[in-house]
This record gives sequence, structure tokens and C-alpha cells, in this order.
Amino acid sequence: MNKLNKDTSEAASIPDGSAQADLEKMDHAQDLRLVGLAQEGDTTAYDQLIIRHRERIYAMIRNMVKNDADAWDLSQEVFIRAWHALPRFEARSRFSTWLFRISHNAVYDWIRKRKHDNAGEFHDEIFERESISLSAKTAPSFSEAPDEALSNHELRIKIEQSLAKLSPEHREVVLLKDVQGLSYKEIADIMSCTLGTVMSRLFYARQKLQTLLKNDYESR
Amino acid sequence: MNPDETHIALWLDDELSGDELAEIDAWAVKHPEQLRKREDLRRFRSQIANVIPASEPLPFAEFFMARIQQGIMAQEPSRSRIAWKTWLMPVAACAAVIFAFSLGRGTLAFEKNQAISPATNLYIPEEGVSATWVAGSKSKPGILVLEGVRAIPDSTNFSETVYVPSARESDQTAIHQPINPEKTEQ
Repeated sequence: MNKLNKDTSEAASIPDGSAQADLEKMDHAQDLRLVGLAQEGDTTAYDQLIIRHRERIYAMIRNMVKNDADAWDLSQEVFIRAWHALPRFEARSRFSTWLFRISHNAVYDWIRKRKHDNAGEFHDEIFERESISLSAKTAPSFSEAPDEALSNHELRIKIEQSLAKLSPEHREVVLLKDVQGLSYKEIADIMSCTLGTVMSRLFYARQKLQTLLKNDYESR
Repeated sequence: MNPDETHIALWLDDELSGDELAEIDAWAVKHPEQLRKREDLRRFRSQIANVIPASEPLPFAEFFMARIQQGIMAQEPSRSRIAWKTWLMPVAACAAVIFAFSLGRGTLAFEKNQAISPATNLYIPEEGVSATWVAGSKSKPGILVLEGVRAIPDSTNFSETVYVPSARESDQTAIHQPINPEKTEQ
């Protein structure tokens, strides 16, 4: 029997009150309908799910691994893993959040494998947690941001370069929060950690990113 | 009363709503530095989101889909093969029933070498499909003609639905191998 029929009401909560929220609700409902069909073996419905989510998953993974070909392969692996795990999906989170969680596992497996070949490449060597001043602002400030002097394209390159210097955990939390727009709760589910850990990682990741961008601007 | 750090962090990232939001909004009025932090953070998020896209066009999208199908089939052949051939199932069921009927009557028809009316002799479960069985003879094979069967979708991957002999099975080298005349003469 389709597991989704019994408890769609328990599905992930989505904030009310805006057109954006309404669109997200419709998207979520459509995902649940397709997931229900796919769980019953309808592969056309699963194809539709892939088409709806593949570009976000690919963008997320590409920003994590910094390699188009590996990102393409890993995205594929995510959807193969998701198909096999689909009978166990109970709609306690949004389907997209569930896919991000599978992506998280696929990327970390890939990183672990890479570390064997190239030890240290993914270590966050530039900053340590302790090196950030205790008097630092709780949120990064872009009020003196260097971006005014940079075009969007240049800024993208700078931000991508700075993101690449972060540890995978810090990079991932920034991408999930500030690029994908997920909530703290969803990020905690994806990264299998507490809300406090997400907040702490995000705080330090944003601080590092801001400092890297500032240093880059000052060295110009 | 001051809100806790978790609620402040959620408020700074615009994740609160309802009473919780109203409560911290009221508190923030007396803490302009928090309002500034929230504005800075909003600007930061907006700048990141503006330059790093949340989704990107996938290169070779069709090939990507085909590779996923292949990957699924390779890991779980029984579940996926059945699923991906659902379009074939009504046709296969229809053909099987017709075949079973024809077995019962086939011997006679085979000898008479004539078409049998589908209305009286053939059971066809799919609507809109008609079938005609043209019996063969000792030298000619029997023919089952199905009309009105749904068109096969363009997306069908035939490499997954037909038997493709492996290289070893189709290896012709044994046929072309020259026969050692000396050995054959012996």
C-alpha cells in the first residue's frame, strides 16, 4: 500500500502567509503525489520527480565537489539511491530535503574516498574556530562589502573560490541555507546534527566567508 | 525578558513567524544593533543567492535519465524491469491468452490454413484491439495479427527489452577458422 496515503498531514511544515509559501505547498503536494505513484512502481512518475529536482541537486553537488563531471555522476548516483530507498520514504520531510540528505551522504562518501588519494585537500586550513574573535559580530556584515567594485560574474568567482576554501561542513551549511534557502531544522535533518550545531557552523562559515572576501578585496 | 540565543538566531535568519516573531520584533525595537545585524544578514544572503544559482541546467539531460534507468536496472533487475516494461504487459497478456486459445484449436487450424474470426475464437483483454490468427501449414508458420495495439512510446529503451546476444555467443571466429588440411586428411 502507498505509505503516503496514511499520513500526508504529517508532512514537513511549510510556513504560511505568502505567495511563495503557497507555491511551495503546491510543489510539495505535487511531489507527494508523484512519490506515491513511484512507490507503487510507476517509473514515469519517478522520471517526473527526477526532472523536477535534478537541477537543484546538480547545482548543490557541483558547488560541493567543484567538478562538473563528478557532480554529474554523483547526481545520477543520488537518484539511483533514492529509487532504492523510496519504499522507506514516509514524507516526514519534503521530498527535496530527503534528496539533499541522500546527496549529503553521496558527497561525503566521495570526499572520504578522495581523502584516501589526496589527504588534506579538504581540510579547512585557513581558519580554525578559535581564530575567530570572540567579539566578532553574530552575523557577517556586508555593509562595507567589496561587491560594489565587482561585477556579478567576478563576484560569483570570488565567492566560489572563497567557498572552496571552507571545510565541506561549512561550505555545505552556507549552500543549504543561503543558496538553497532551507530552514535550520531541514539542514539539521540533512546533516544529521543538532539545531545548535547548524547554527554554530553557519555562524563560523559566514564569518570565514566574509573575511576571505574582504582579504581578497584588500589584496587587489 | 531577553529571548534566548536560538530564538535570536532564528529571528536574524527570518525563520520565526506568529507570536514568536512578534515577541522578538518588540524586543528588537530596543536593540537597534540587532536590527542592523538582521539587515546585514539579509543583504549577505541576498548577495550569495544572487550570484550562486540554486539550480543549474544539467548537461546531457537525456543521457542522464538513461544512465539512471540503467543504474537502477543493474542493481535491482526484477523490480525495475517489470516496472519499465509496463507498456508491454497488456500486449504480452493478450498474446499469451491468444496463444493459449490457439493451442487448443491450433492443430485443426494449422491443417486448414485459414483465418479464424476473433469474435468467436480469440479472447482479447485490451479494448480496441482485434486479432486474427492465420494458421500455417507444415511449410509455413502461423501468423497472429494484432490490430489497434497502442504505439510504443518513443522513450522506450529497446536495448532493455530485447535479447542482445553477448559477444561470446555471436563470436564467429570458430566458423572462419581455417581448417588444417593436414589434420582433415589424417
